[in-house]
Amino acid sequence: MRYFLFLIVPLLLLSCKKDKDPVVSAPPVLSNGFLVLNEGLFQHNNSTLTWMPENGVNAIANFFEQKANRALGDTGNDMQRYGNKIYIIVNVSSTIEVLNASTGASLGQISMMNGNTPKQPRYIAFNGNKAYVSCYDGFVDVIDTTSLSVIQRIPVGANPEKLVVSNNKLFVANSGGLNFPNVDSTVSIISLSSHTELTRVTVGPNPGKICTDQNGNVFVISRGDYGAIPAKLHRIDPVANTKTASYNFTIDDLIPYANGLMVIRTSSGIHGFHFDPVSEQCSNTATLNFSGITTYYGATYRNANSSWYVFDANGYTLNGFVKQFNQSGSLLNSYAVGLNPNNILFYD
Amino acid sequence: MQNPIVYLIIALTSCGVWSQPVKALDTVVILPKSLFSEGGFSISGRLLDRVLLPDVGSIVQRIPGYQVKNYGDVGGLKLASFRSLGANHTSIVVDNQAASVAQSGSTDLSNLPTEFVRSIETNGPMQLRTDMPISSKMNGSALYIQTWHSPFTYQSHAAVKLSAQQGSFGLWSSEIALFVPVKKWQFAVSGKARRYEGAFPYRYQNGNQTFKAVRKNNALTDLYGTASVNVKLSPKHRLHALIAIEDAKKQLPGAVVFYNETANTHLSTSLIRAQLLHQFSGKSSFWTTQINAHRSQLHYVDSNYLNSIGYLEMHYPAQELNGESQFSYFFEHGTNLLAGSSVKYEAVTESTLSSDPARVINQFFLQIQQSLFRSKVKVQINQGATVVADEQADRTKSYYLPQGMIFWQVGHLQSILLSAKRTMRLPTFSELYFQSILPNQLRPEIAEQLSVKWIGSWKKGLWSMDWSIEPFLTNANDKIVAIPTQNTFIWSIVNIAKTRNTGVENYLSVHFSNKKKTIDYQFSGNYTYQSCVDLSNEQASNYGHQISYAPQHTGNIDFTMFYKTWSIFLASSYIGNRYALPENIATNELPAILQFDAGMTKAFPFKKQLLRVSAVVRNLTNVNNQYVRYFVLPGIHYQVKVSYEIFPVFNRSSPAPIL
Repeated sequence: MRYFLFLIVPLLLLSCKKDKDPVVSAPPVLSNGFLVLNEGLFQHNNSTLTWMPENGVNAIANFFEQKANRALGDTGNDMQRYGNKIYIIVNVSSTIEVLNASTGASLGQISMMNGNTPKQPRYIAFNGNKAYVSCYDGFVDVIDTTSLSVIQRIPVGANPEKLVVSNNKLFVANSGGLNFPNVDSTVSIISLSSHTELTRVTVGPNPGKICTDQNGNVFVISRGDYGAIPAKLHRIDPVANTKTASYNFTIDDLIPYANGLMVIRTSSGIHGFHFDPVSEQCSNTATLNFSGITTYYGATYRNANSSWYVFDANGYTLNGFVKQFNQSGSLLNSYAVGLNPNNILFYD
Repeated sequence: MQNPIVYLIIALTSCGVWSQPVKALDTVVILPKSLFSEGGFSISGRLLDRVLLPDVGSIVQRIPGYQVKNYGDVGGLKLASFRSLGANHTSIVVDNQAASVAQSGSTDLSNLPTEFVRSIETNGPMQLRTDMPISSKMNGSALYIQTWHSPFTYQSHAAVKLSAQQGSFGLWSSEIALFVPVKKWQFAVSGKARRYEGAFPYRYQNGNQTFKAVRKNNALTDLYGTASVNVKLSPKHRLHALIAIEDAKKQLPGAVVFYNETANTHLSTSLIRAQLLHQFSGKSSFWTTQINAHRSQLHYVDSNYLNSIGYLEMHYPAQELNGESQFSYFFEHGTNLLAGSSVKYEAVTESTLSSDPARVINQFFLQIQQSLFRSKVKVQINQGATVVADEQADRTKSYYLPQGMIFWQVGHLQSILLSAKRTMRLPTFSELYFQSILPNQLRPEIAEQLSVKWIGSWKKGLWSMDWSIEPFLTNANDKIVAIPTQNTFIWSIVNIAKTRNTGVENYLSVHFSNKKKTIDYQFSGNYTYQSCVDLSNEQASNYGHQISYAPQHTGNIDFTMFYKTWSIFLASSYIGNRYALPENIATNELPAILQFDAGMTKAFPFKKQLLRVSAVVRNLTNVNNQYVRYFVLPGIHYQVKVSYEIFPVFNRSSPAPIL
């Protein structure tokens, strides 16, 4: 009979469960901290929102779940605050979550389905009482920020990514990434008055990141093929609707900050190089050295404390970090957050 | 090879010692009479006929050391993993022919029908069998499935089997098999057609809320047909030929993440395989030569893909041709020898590549066994080598794979097997040419396995008991994993992972049968503990954590009772907590699965015919299970089967009564 014990005892032991960690409640009103959007992993339905107090103590890893009583979804791709609302673009779930910016309470979910086909929203930008959402099915959806409903679809190029507003126009980077290797190379320029596409400007293969400097000039990165065709930075004149320059320096990311634009390079360490949009010169020596980053996944500059916040995806399959650096690149804080952090909203 | 213990074992087993002659072991007994044979493990098809398991995957998870990664039950992909090494480390051999698909290197167990199975065995490392493919002997583990089409069927009577099944969620299936011996010829034909509508209700936990929905777009239609012929050319020469086709279309609903429910993604598979095998059986020698051809066509369609044409369509035609020859000789002084070599050409035509990937794989295998102390001790050393010529990369690489075993028969009823081996699996075409990136520098995964197995049995009166306990240590290096690189959408395949798995596999079977053989009880259970930890990067936060989808605890307890023409079975399976991602943290944890099934069979024997009616209810407690995160499994469901046999197969050489 003792041989039965080999089977039965372990199975009985399995019925014992560990106690779960105590749950810290999300604050009713948000202040002195920041919200981090953690993208999660494709088809794992594990996007999360982390509330991180400034002192890093009692972080809330499941902030959205606590506030909305459900999970955020799959691949939270973008998060922006506009007015008193926060918009979270959940790419694979094909939804937009709208939260109260003061409390984080859920105000509703916008379904981004076109019949039975998911539109796969990617990024969001705003103008007046409208939100503009790039959708991977080749449209920019116009959303009324009061009724939170889609009121119009504007056709653009293939698989649009980031978008930015300048000079009463919307600039949309058409990646065409799902047609790889026959990717798109254009930026759609849309009139915000008529909601029609004015033109498409050819920049370079696989446009992705797009942003403006302090004077409204538009800069776009064409990402190439991640191999033989390198990523490149291009400049678009928002008045003439033409490409005015392409730059030959190496670039992986571009971040607007107080003194201009910061070109990020990730090939050997994570370094920032100041780019002057007026002289169109990029410094030859690194302005910043973000040390201790395992997997660079984006960065943002916070004017209020003149700090850089760098997203560390930590190999993409392990929980990541948000690391705070000062203007000279010294590490000030490291905040443990969720899987693949990609966006941040600050509360002073 | 990095493990010095493995070197030591091989060195010890290399000592040549001479002893008494032993009986040749090459002859395959189709109906296993013992659970354990030369260190291997067998399940008889006779048992499978009674307990009505849906597919081979459901059987394999009852074999110690194996887990089956289940992506959705009926119709869903099922992959066998031995000691968490991954599906490509296990050879699935059907009727002495490797069944893996060249593109993926693995075998979907849900595509293997159970109705024609006569036995499923794991590799007995002390066997010297010239009929088993060399590749399976050099792999991490192997499962040998013998069907009605086995080249070594010694059945002298004809048999006919007809059956039909109906089950929950629109399952319909019908099968036919025919076996006809005519003098020195044996002909066999079998076929199966199955349809499964596949929509089943499930519950879905989304944060703090539970949703109820129906799993749609999960339909399956498949068709199997096999014809074979054996001919005894002379008392010493036997020839076998087989041709098999498979045509399947299965929808792929994917993970349950909202919109996928309405997608119409599907995979069509067309397979044809052919085999020609010759065996010479001499007094002290065996010589088997076989030629196999395998052609497959995978056709994948994603109707929701947001590219310019609005869908994604991929074709992956693959072909494989291999030939091999193995020779064994049993010397009178107790030395046994097996030597063989194989050559395999495999190629894939992939529309997005500039030229078709192809490679030639040569394998050489030498097995030397010495019996000592009146065959109570056997010492064995295996030397294996694999040479891979990759045409695309224009390079040739070779790998040395030694193995060593000591088998000690302790009395009549107990034995101990000490085994050390180095095995590997090659990168598949899917990995080598992932995302159209031309030949990268992927290396094979190398595994070093060390184990000690205690096999025992006990008999008293009408009771008998069999057991095995096997502690093991397995190191895997250069594990091939897919990781995101540029961002979470752009992945690369790299050799970075390193794991160590320590554990123990336990098996126990208790059997009772009365003298008249009208009552028969069998209780069997297995329990495996494994600590399979990631040792890839000491700096990473998952260093020393249990790897993804490797449960620490798995087990099964089954009870079958046969009374005259009735049989009843109760089955339970347990898969412990797992982690969906590398970090062992709460958000990555998947709850354990404990599932109960029950079934009943009533047999109506008359003259030389047998009518059998079976019914089974699965997931009795209606638990909402997921083995893989968001690939939901169905709740309570049933299946009914009616079969009719003329001259039933399992009425001879069978220790238990015919039901």
